[in-house]
Amino acid sequence: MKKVILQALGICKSYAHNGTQNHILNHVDLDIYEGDFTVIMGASGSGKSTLLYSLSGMDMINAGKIIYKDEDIATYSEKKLAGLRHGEFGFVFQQMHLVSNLTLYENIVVPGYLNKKVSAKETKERANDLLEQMGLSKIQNHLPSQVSGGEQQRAAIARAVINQPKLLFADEPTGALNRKNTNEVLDLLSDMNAKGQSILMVTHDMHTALYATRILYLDDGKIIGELTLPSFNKDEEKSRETQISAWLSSMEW
Amino acid sequence: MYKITLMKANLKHRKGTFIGIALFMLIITLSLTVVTSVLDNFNAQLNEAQQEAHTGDVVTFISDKYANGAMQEAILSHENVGEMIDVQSIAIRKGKIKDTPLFAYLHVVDAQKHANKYRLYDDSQDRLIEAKDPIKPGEIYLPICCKGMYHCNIGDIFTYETKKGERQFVIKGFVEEPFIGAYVINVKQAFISSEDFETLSSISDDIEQDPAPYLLPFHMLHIFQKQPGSMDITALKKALNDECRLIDFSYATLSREESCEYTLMLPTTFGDILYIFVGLLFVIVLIVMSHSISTGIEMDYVNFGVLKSQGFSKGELRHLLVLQYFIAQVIGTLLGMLLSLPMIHVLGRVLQDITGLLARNTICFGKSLLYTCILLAMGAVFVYIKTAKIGSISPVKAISGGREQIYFDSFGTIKIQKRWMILRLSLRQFTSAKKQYIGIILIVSILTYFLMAMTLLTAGVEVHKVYELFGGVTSDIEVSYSDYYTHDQKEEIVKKINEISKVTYSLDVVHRYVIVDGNEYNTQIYDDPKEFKSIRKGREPIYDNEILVTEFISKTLNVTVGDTLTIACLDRQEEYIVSGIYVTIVDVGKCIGISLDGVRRIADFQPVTGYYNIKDPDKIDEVVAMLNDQFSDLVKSEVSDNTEELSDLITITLNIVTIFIYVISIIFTFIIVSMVCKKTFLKERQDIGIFKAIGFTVIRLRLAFSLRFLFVSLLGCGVGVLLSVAFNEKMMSYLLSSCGLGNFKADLTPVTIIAPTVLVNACFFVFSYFASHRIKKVAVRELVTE
Repeated sequence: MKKVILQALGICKSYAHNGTQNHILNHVDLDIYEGDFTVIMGASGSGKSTLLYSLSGMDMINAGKIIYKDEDIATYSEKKLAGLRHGEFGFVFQQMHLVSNLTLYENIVVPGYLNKKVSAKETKERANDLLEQMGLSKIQNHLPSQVSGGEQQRAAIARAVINQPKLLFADEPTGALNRKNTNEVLDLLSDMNAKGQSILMVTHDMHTALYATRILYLDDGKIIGELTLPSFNKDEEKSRETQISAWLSSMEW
Repeated sequence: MYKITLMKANLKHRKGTFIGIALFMLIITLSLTVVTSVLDNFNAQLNEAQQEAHTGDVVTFISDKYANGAMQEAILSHENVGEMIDVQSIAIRKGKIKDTPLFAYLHVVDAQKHANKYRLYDDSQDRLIEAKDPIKPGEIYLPICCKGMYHCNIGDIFTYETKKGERQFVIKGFVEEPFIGAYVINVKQAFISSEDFETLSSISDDIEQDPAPYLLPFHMLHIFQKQPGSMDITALKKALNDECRLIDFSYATLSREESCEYTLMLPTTFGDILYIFVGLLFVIVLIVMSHSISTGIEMDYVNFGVLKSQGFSKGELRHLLVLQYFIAQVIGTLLGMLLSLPMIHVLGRVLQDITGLLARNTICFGKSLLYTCILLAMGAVFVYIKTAKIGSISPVKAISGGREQIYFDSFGTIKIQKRWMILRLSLRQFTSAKKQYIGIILIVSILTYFLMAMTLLTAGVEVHKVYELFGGVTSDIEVSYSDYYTHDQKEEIVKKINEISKVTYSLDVVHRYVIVDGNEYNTQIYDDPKEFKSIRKGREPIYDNEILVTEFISKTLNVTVGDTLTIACLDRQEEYIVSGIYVTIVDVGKCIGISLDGVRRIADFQPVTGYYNIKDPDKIDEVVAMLNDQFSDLVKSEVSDNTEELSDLITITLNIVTIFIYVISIIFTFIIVSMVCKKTFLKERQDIGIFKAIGFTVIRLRLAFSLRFLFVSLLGCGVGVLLSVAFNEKMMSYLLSSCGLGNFKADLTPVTIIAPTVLVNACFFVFSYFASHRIKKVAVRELVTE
């Protein structure tokens, strides 16, 4: 029996636009399990990113509960949410979003320095290990503008995991990358998942979804389908692709 | 039409910037209009009042003893003299207005006979009125500045001494007296009833018989140049001195030009300070506009590219920007002019008590408009030049990728560490965009420089030392010597004081007019020349053939240390060597310093004032009582209050100017910080979102944001302090030279440095912290790419 790491109970999210309410999330119930590589898929505008940002506490919900460690993070103060972001969760954006005037190394260590439980020395060691692991050691003192998109995204992933988060959120992390860089990043995430890192990722790319162990399908603000898969194995890529494709077709994707 | 559409959109989109620019121009125009109008109003009022009072081109004060028919005939027959009016006066030598003793002679004049010499203020001193009833015996009209000089009001008593005992006048009202009615001129003219004038004339002292007269009959001879006159007034004064021996017989001679110069001296000086301040404010506005244009172009890079791709030329886009900034400036200018009216009234009323002239409340539209038009034109040209960058925007590059890649300057970057991380991040934000902050550093340095200048000036006026620095004398006890006193008797006085408390310092002083190069100048005569403490160049006049001259005399007579000057008094004249250049406020700097031994080569002057310091300050009253008791025929002694005169109205006015400058600087800082912070915030919005996403709290981010501005302001303050050390003395000396303080010595102390810098830095930090409230509104969700 898998342990639930994060739980969404009837969450709703809507935006007011020109006087009318647009309901993006509509009473979503969801469990995220420890050690899973969960992928949320859906058509454009289905509310994937909104769900991800709501679950990670980066966006406020209008109703419902998001339970993490027996607490509803939807009621957290700004300070407690900040602590959650640097202590418990990690986040990878589609557009990398590295701080432009910090080097790759500095971008990685800054959230580590925010973590009071970890010493500066330990943070530096972790950062060096991650740089090594991500193949960024040689360019660690470069500014984001001086490296490729793939390298930026790898640095962004390293930044997201510097505090060894319980759950890593990723919002289309390969959306802005070419095929080569996409594979590199996905391999990296897959390796991390294999080592026990829980991942919740949003994507609209079927190739990316191949790496998932669990796929959720979101439509019109509701989860309408779920597909559970074994751990990713390169040798079974073709059959896995067929399986997922068939399932997505059944979801009218 | 397209221009209006685009402009409306841009004005709406960047309303913060344009409101800021409009506010800047409002403050600048307001200050400029107020200063210009107040100065112009006083000039006009003075000219009008002097014309109405029929003030002579040259006015000489001659004792009744000398103002005989022959002398008046000699003046009238001078080839350049067209007319002469004799205004008889009785100079009251001793008395007190309310509780303050007279600073100098008070010339009382028959109010009915010379009704054109003054104009009566109403009770609120807001306008000039016709007297409801004629002045009655026992009543007196005093010049309005006496209110500040003697702290008196209508109904107060003026007590004066006569040989027949004390008598009194009741102050019936205050008048505008445009000749010697200004605060900076100690000798005053007051007006009494014909009956009182006759009475005083009948009991006035015979100065030929009485060596210590209390009431001296005088004649103020108003001499007019023959029209059309070919001679300037200074030359006329010199010619009269040379040919009619005015200097030998007159107590003092003052030209109309000099009267105007003295009357408007302080407003002009304050005006000059404010003009320079306004000029620097405009430089600040240009810097802010430069910053705003650069960041605006950077932020609207894509929009400009799109507009270019749609057929807009570089010139059209630049004109559009120039027009937008111009409109903002014009709105600010118009509002500034409108709002200047109440300020003109406020500043005018403050200066009314100094000039003695009625403060008009009219806006000097012509000059103010001319000055502001020049500023507007300069602003427009500046914006046009700054928008040249638009030319380099390529439509394709702008549309495809937006702005060019930003490369950060790594020079001076601070390593990011866990310890002091917020501080280090702030420094990084600053060092990675140094160029962006150069303008702000410049602005802060200018503000600091000017605030320091004003702090130095006000701090200087507050401190007793500055009195000495400006050629004054400070002491515990001040002694007025009678005409029976001779300097030889000083030893005995000192001996008696020593019996009560040891005399630590003593100085005998007298001021007398002498002739130098045909012009009369006052001399400051000290029995101990070492007490000339305000020497800026050279040394004190140790030998009896040496003198000190002021910067003014040095320039006027073209002499410097080592040169010789011939000084004449009555029939004797001697050559003196200039041993040094010194500063004095006596006669607004038209003065010569000389030792008592030195002056005795040409005249046997006796000191009229003595200054004493004693070891035990608790014994001052005892010493004063002893002197008044034991030397009653020689001296009249009192506890000194040397700085009272300086610390009164002038200090108040100076403080008002300083407060004005401080307030304007704070408002400017607020607007600058708000504008720059908004721009910085917009540029860094994404970074703020990222920092929030990785766990930074709003408080930390706001702190980092404002700390960065604190660094910038600290750097600017550093530059400002350096500028102040380098240029403030020169600037203040230049500005104060018209007051005779041509060599201002800046007293750089921790207070004069710290006060303005702390204020500027605190404003930058606090204002930027408040401005950073927008950080709260940044949602991490903004980083989502749908």
